[in-house]
Amino acid sequence: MINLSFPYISIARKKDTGKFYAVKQINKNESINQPTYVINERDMLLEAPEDFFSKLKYSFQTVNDNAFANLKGLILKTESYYLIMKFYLGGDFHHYILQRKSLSEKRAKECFAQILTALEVLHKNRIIFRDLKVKRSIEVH
Amino acid sequence: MHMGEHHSVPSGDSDSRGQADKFGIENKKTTANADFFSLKFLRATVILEYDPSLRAVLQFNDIANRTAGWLCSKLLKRLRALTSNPEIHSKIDSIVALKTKNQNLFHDVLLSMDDCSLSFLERETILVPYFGAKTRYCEESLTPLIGLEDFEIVKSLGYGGFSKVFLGNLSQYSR
Repeated sequence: MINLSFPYISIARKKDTGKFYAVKQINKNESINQPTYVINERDMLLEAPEDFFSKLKYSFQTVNDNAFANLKGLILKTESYYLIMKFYLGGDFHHYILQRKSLSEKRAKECFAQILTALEVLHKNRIIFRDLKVKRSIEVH
Repeated sequence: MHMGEHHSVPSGDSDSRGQADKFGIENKKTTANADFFSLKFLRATVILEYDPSLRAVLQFNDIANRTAGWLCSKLLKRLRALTSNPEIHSKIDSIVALKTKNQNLFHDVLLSMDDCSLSFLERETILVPYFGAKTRYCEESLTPLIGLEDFEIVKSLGYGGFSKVFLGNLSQYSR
């Protein structure tokens, strides 16, 4: 059983172009997912530079999901917000480190610099990232 | 349907070298030694299977310098040349992308990116067409209407954004 109190990520293919996107499903019925938070996230993603943040392509919400309950059983029927973002293949940074067991000092420096630059951009826009971790970062080759 | 029909279509490319054989069996023999010594197979055979009786075969060299967009347009062109049935032609027109027959998601994603290099291809790959669905437009403003039904969920990845679930699972495993 999928617990939908937290945003749920899937890979989806857009039917008219065949392109792949990352779909973030945010359940409306959880009090933690206030509409203002979701709108904030959407606005932030729209303004954020593409170099550091997965580009937001589409966003929409569903009012009643009954019609789409059979979507491979991956998405449960709930009223949700959906953020459709650019999909990167690299996998998360956590996975990247685990694969290599350790990073060389040079590589670690490069990666850390990239993360810091992304944070700098956020801070310039008066946004605080409260929960940064390796699993949040995506490796783009 | 005569399977070897497409070989009569002349192409000045290096991939026309496989004209004599039907599915590249002969060609593989002659290049087997070269493949054995090079780490990456530089030559690939890609088969686009519309249905079991209608297959477009494309052989080409130098896979690292070819792009996925090139492969898609080339294969569709070959497929069109194979048949004169207008019904199939209109169906071919609605193909928007290609996907692997054995449902390799990694390859599917790479194939969907037009300017992606084909160096990931194996020596022989069978592809099947991905038929597109029409986008709905708003009648007044002619802007596309995007909804959940415009997407086909391929794979679910898990939770993001909040870490609680991840952390809970991790501590369970480590104990």
